[in-house]
Amino acid sequence: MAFSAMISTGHSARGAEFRNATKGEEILIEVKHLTKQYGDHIAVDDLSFTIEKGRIYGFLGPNGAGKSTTMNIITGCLAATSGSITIDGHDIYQEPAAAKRCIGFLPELPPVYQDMTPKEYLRFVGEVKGVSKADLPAAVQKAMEQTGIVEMQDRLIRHLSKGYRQRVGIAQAIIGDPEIIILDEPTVGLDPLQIIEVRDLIRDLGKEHTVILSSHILSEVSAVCDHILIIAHGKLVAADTPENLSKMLQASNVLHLNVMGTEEAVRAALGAIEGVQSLELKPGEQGSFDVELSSDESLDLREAVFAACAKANLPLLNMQLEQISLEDVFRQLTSDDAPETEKKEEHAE
Amino acid sequence: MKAIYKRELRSYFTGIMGWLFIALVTVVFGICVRAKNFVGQYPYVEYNFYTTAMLITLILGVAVLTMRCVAEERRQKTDQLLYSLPVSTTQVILGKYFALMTVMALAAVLMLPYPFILSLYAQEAGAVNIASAISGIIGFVFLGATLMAIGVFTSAVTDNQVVSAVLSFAIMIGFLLTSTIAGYIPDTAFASLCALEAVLVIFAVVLGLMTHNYWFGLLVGVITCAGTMGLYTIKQTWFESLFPRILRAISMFDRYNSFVYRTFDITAIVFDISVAALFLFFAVQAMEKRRWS
Repeated sequence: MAFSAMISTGHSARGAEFRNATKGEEILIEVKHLTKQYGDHIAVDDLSFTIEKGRIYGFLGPNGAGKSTTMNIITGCLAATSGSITIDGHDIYQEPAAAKRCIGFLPELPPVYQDMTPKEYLRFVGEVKGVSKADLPAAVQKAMEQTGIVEMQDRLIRHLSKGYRQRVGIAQAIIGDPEIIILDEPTVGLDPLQIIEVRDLIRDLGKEHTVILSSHILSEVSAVCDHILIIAHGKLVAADTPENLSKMLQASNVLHLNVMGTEEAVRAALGAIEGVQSLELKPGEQGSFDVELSSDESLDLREAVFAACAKANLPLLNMQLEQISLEDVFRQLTSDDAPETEKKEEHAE
Repeated sequence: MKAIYKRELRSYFTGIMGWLFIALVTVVFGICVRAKNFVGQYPYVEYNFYTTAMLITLILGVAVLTMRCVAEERRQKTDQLLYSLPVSTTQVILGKYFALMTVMALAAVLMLPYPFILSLYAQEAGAVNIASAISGIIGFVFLGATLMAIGVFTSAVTDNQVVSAVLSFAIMIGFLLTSTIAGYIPDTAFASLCALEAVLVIFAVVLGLMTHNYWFGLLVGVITCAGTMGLYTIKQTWFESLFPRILRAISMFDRYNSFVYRTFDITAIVFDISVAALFLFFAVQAMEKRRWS
């Protein structure tokens, strides 16, 4: 519930503005029929999606869903069994250097050299990425400032805490200003304060770059992303904005009521309202009834319910509109019981 | 590649490994020179490169110096960084290899003064042949070049540094002993055939295990064994002392002999570079393979 509230307030406004601003922009990453097989195990199964410029994308899925594998393949760390990946027009296999120059990547574990200081390390990465010698000090300084590691620049990475190492890893990904920044579980192992800092950083990065991050934590993705790709069992089960995702599953409006009165009177009064699809009554406290009233998606019956109760002189103690949170969407989409196809159809409706 | 080279070289000298390698090689060389040339009054410095002490030191030094070069990347998960950066695996391996060769060259530079010092004590001018000594040192660097490549390769196939060191040590000792082993094999055609078949069977088994395709291994084994046996029935004379000749041909240590006998042997250098290139190619393949598994 808390998440849906968050989305419907601050986030949706920002998200909408953002989308409008970048609508029709070019496609940066195109993934077509990507499959990765480890022996008999299929980690990624015929995955296809596109990443557009200027958005923050979130890969969401339970552990072992194929998020990291997908990211590793996009960044060229891993070879796919089949399928193609184009990054800004460059095929990752045909022109790996050109494709990789567009990407900054933070793998699951920050790939830092223990025997270097953050400054030396960032100089090294910048140099390999092709930052010119003249621009290098400024680029290193900028990356350190953005990730807040300036005061740690001359300590050995070996002596840094997990949180700082993670930041050095992020700094490494953003140095040289790549078009696309891919972060695999960027907030794992950080304390709550650091998590907030990293999220703010990702939002900042999202202003100038296209960001893809992965997480198995829903709140994280819904807090920063404009667009969510839900992956389960190596397949893309849904891809949309956080708001649309929660809307999609709201096939019908459900009202929870608490009404005083006899069963017959309540049934008669509420059953007469136009558009009511089903009515369930359960005895509640002190002669009242808990009612679950469902209607068509497009109808909001709250006013009609109030009017009907008032007319029949039935005191309405409580009325609440059930909202499906992203948590529910996520659980529903990634649960093991329902077959994949059935779930997809459910969305299409 | 330059950035990789710089990082790698730096890591050898911020850590202990680079210093240790240079110290080990030059100290053992110094002891040998003192014993043979100063005390033993022998004018040829290059002789010392072929002493067992010097060769074992080089082999051990190379095994220890190279063991971490790729294996450590994998253990620290920094190989992920290298894969994702706009740099090819070949460039990564070459950068690392040239850093290793720089350490080797530094050790060689420290050996350069020895023949000059020795010549100061020579009873007659020109008794110490500076040119042949320098040629010996160059030969030593190229011998090191092949061994370093073997070390890079073993480091690339495993993520355990100890396994890498033991493996490269075993391969290098194997090369060192090939000519000795060659001496044990009779010159008859049949002996060569048997040895050859044994090697082919081992090759087929390794191939089958590495590709996880046992039928392929079996097929390769059967074809190569049948082929050699067929050749044997047609032209038996080809097989006379064939195997010992092959063994002597692949030993870089044997070729290196000519430097000790004061010949600057271009073929040996070409051979060293070829073997190094082959092992570096294998190392690149081993790193690439990780991407596919």
